[in-house]
Amino acid sequence: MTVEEKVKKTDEIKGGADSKEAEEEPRIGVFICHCGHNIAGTVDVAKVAEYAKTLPNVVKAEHYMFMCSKPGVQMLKDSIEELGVNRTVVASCSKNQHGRTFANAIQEEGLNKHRHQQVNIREFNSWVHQKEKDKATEKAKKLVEAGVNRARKLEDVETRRIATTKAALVIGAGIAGLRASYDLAELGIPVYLIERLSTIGGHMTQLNKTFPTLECPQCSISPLTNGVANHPLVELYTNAQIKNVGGSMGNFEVEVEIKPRYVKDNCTSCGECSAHCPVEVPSEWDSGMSIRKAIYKAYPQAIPATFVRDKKNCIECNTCVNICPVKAVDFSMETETKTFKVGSIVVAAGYDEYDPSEIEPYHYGQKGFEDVITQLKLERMLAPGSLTNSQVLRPSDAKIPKSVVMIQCVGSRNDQVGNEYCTGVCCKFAIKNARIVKEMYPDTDVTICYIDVRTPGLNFEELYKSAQEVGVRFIRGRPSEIVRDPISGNLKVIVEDTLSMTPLQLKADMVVLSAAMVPPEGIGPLGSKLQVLRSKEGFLKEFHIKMNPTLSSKGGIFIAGAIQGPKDISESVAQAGNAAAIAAAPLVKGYIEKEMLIPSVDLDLCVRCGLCKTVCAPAAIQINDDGTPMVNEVACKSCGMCMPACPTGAIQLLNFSDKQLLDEIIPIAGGGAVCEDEL
Amino acid sequence: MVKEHTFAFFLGCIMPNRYPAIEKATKFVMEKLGYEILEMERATCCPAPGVFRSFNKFDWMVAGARNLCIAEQLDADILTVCNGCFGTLQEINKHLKENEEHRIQVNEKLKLLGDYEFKGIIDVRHVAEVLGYEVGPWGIEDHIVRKLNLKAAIHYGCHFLKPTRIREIESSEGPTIIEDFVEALGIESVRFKEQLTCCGAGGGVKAYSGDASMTIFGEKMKNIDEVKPDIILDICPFCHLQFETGQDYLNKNKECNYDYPVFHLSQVLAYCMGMDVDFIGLQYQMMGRDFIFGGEDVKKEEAI
Amino acid sequence: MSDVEEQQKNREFKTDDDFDTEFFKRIENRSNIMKCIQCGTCTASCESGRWTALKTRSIVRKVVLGDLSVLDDPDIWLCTTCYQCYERCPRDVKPTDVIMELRNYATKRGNISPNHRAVVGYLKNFGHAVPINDEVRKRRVELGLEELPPTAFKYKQEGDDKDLKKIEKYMFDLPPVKEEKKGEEK
Repeated sequence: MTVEEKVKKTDEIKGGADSKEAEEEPRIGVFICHCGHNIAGTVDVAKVAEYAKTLPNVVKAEHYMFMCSKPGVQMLKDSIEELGVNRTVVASCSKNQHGRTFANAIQEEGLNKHRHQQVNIREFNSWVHQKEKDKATEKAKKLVEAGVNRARKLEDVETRRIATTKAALVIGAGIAGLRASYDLAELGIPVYLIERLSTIGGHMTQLNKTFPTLECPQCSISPLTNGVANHPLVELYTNAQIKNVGGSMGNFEVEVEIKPRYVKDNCTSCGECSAHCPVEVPSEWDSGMSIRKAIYKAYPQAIPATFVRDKKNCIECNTCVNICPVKAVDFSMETETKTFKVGSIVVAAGYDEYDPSEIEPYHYGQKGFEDVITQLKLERMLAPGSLTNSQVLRPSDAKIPKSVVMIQCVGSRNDQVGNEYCTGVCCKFAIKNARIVKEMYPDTDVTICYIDVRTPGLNFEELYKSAQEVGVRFIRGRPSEIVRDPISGNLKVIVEDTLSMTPLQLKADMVVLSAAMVPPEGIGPLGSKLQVLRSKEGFLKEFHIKMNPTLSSKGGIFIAGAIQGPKDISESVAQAGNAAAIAAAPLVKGYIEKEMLIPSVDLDLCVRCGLCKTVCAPAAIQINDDGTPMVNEVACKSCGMCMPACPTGAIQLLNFSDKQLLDEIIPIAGGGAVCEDEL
Repeated sequence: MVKEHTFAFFLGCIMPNRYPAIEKATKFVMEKLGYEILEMERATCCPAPGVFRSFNKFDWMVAGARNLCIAEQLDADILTVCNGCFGTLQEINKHLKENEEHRIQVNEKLKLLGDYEFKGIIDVRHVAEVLGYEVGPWGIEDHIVRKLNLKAAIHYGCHFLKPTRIREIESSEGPTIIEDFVEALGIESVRFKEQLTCCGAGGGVKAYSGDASMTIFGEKMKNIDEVKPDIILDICPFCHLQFETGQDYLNKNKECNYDYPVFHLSQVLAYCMGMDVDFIGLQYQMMGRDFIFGGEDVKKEEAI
Repeated sequence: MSDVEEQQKNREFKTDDDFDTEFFKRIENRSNIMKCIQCGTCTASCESGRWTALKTRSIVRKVVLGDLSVLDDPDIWLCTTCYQCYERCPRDVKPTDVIMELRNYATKRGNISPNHRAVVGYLKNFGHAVPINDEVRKRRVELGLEELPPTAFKYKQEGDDKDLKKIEKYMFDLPPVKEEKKGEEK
């Protein structure tokens, strides 16, 4: 079923059948809110109400302490019942704040909610003119008059139900994506889970222990990885990437490219292929701390358990093809493209560890500085089954370091590299690892150089104290550089202990950099395909940082975990659960409601220039064969961009037409008194 | 457009007034490489960034702009041989090109000093950057007649590369421009501890507190002495002066026994390009007077 | 001095009255200076500070607080302007520029060392911070160079001193020597 068909199928509700005839005489009720002292402390609300009474079509004008309170709202309702008011104007706060409260109230009385006009005399007036009470009152009068003018010609707007596709797409199978997938599936929603890599579980599977309780992350995550992989409602696609996203909220069509594993699903995970493969490359999953083969499984517990061939590094010697006991290896497998129809999309693309080589004085990755590693590499060293057998060994000579120095804020809180933000998890991360290293090797000096220790939340200050107790040394200062003696090869960390004002040169057998969390590679193209906004740091931007942190800038696309900004596992899991819930809501309900606040085209005026199409960001305007524009009512976001673009005024947005806006502007601009001397 | 392959030669103070051999060598080298060198008549001290900028930044900009104007009148980019001169003139030139308000103020005061108006039509170059990036190790091969075989402790100094955002030459944390260039002369750069730190002379410290300056320099020499180079190679007459007088000071006051010859890049290159060894000026210097360059004559291959 | 005054003078604590929050209002790069997080990258980078009393971080701190004692602090003259702190500061405070600007303020107050005064004198008299001497004149001739470089000083020697006269008159006017009160020297 196409989107258009779905729209046809939807039934008209609210306002369509019950609406009053458009030609009837406007009867306007005006209500001025005191908002406590917020407005009444500056604006003479009684005078404004008196003035409103003198305006044409106004049949009632009152002022009241709190219009948003129950009695206040009742005043609106009563005026409809008792006086036959058919349009309301409330002069109080912004439309975002309480416009909906009043619109819903008149709807309950049978009026179309678009017959309410909100006038903002608080943010736009009383708050900014506190020292000019008389002028503020005059301005309030003008604003109210403008609102009344606008209300007079307000037209009913139909709200339509649009059926949604009951399926969701989740991008990224790290902890956030897994959690969101599982929660969606448990709500009965079919889920397509798309993972860029060959295994699921993300960064969490790389860790040795999780803070603050030092749990085993594999143990924590495996019920979820298994639960998702085996869930009847989840279809998992690894080696998969988004190619194209079409449609809009409620009904997306997503094209996904799935690269082949070159190993069929009958693989028994016996490992014979890998054992005999002659190609060795550094393991990405192991942060380069060990090697893997060209045909491999990232790690023993990896899901899917099917092996995967790395085509780029494969020398095509065919050893694996011949040796596989179940003939699962198949080099002829090809890239597949699938299209999924879904109602909601959850993006959980995670993060990358910051590459510290950008901070030159630390010489990360340079010759002679092999013992400068990152926290993720240290995790890989400490983890069970690691190349070092869970020992901490210097990469340069495989000896246990006698001194380990950790450096905080590497790539965080650093304007020079463009990352202003505090990653927020590195303090906890470093303290945890420092304590583990110190407990393993009591004779090793473990030092954390920090700018500020940030350990908010339950159990984290306790973790900090526990590290201090076992003898981890904390030095408040950001190291300026790591220097290497060209003769001995020894490393020294140069730092000021700012608390004692002492410049220090710390001997360091090993340096561990607490690198920032940064947006993952490929987020740019992905963001563009999804048409969602990104923050200046490059993460995906949430709709509202407090009230709607899991909705992206685009309806129907939700964000979970570190893709929205640095987060630890607990936060990612919590956010993923919320994203799943609000992504599921329209799918469970079966429809979304869409107000048909859309433009209409006067074909007599239209010159077929097509400009409206070029400015329409949600691509809701198409040009017919005869050159006339056609508006897709579902895709339209009512932004109004088409109106100023139109050279003849042929395209007019409902309730925002040039005539309506002019009526509203005249009392403000033409009145002349307001803000005259400021201009 | 300024004249190509032509430089207004900014002398500064220490080179002409203490180490004229560096001046001689630089002229020799640049002219042999096909550049025309113009004299900047009536120029003054750049003025030195660590001192004069510290006393009065505005006057420092005006006095620097006066020197820039002399080169503008010659229609040529400035060539400097000293990190201090480079730092001052490059920074003032760049700043006044970008900051209209300061440009107007500076031009106003320049009128008091004579017929000067800063226009912002030239660039300021350092000889090490011209050699390293414009001539390049690839281009110098054809011009050298002698190839050395020695180890040098290379000292970049501070103001040649830093602030990197203003100089825009190379990273200050691991530069290789000079190493790469002198390799073509047969010079091996020996890495030493804290190689990129300051010589201790700049910022007016040498004049303000000889003790502090010598303490910083003492550490520098200790680190150099660990790797026992044949020569110390610098690109700044002020660092040059510090290495010369500093070794002497440490020998006399701190029971050291240093005798490393100190050369500016221009001096070494001039030798390799065939300048008479007497003009290199080692006989006028305090340290390493017994040093002999040696090296081998480069046999020019016949054109095939 | 009364006992009370003596006690006040020796107090270890400071009050709001000890800070002038207006003084550095127009310092260059002020917005970044105020964002200093006192991480110590500057001090750790400081080659002079390893050997001397110069602590760059606390100098920036005093600017943030408006502690004008920093202008009388001899430490600000120990910076070699190597720019290492400037290069590495994660908040882009440009400490080297801060110190040089503080020296401008200090100079206005007459806090300028005799040696530095002498250097200014050299510039005014010779056009050079390091003037030529007879020995070098001789060497220049031996090297085949002009005895005097063609700078402003040469013209002065030839009787044309208009350049240096103007520089002397208009440039680098220093305040008179500040009278040191007995016992106040650091």
